[in-house]
Amino acid sequence: MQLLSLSPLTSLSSLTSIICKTCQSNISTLTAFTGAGAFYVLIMLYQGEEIKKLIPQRDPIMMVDKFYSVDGDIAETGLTLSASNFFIEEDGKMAEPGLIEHIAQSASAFAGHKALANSLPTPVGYIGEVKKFHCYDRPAAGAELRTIIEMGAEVNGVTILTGHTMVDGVKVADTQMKIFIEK
Amino acid sequence: MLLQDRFYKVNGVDKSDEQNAVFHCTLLADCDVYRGHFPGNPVSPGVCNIEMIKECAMMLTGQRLVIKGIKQCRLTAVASPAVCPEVDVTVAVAPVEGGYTVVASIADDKQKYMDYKGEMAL
Repeated sequence: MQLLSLSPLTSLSSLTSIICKTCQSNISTLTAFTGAGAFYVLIMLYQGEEIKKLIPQRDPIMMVDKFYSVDGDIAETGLTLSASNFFIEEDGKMAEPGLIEHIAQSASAFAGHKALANSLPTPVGYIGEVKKFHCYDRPAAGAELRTIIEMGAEVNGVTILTGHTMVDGVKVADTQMKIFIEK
Repeated sequence: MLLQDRFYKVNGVDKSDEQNAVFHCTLLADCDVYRGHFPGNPVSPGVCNIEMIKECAMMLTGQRLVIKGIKQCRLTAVASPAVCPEVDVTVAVAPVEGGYTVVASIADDKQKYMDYKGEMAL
């Protein structure tokens, strides 16, 4: 999440044309609040339907619904886990492979964000390898998944990445992964 | 079972002993997942194949299992109901404290689609 601290005199209307440095798109989702004598704006780059610009997956297996921020090789994404999610099991909790898919689609969204910046079509990514995956807890329906992706080097279209997912500040999963991005 | 009779069905099982079995499965082309993965280009999600391995391990052990860790899972070919309508899921389990180590693969007579090694907990 990117936090912009602004002077208390800045009005929200002067912020309506924040442009993403990477993709030049207009940042449409702004939340403003005040606190500790300052005025803050929470920036979210994409959410909901806008995620479809970043990844090729569609219902019932769209596993990212928020793309908060990019900072160099690191991106932050999220998913509100609905009760009707494809991976919700009978006990109301998510099957572990759903966490892997969420992390993979988070990386795919990151690649999609970069593609948009270069006016390229949405890339299709495939998982090549999952390594050192751990599931510490299965999130329950209603949980807010927050995920940090760190992209490593790309060699011949294969990118190595690491990702971890938190719910309410507690880590529920982490993994290494190789994804193959089709160009 | 989350995906049995939705993403795949089991046609038969060759169980060599309590810890080793081959599950003969059909990938179901009418699974709802293919509406979204990907529109007009049905590809079996690798994570659904991982879940299929987990469910086969549950059938073999007769226990409810959760994936605690995956040491390594390699996806060696793109699978889909068109490419590989029938696949064999080979599963070997070894008991450890609190669960099992699971070594598994998914293949047909043409090629291998997945190699899997990890730990599942009770």
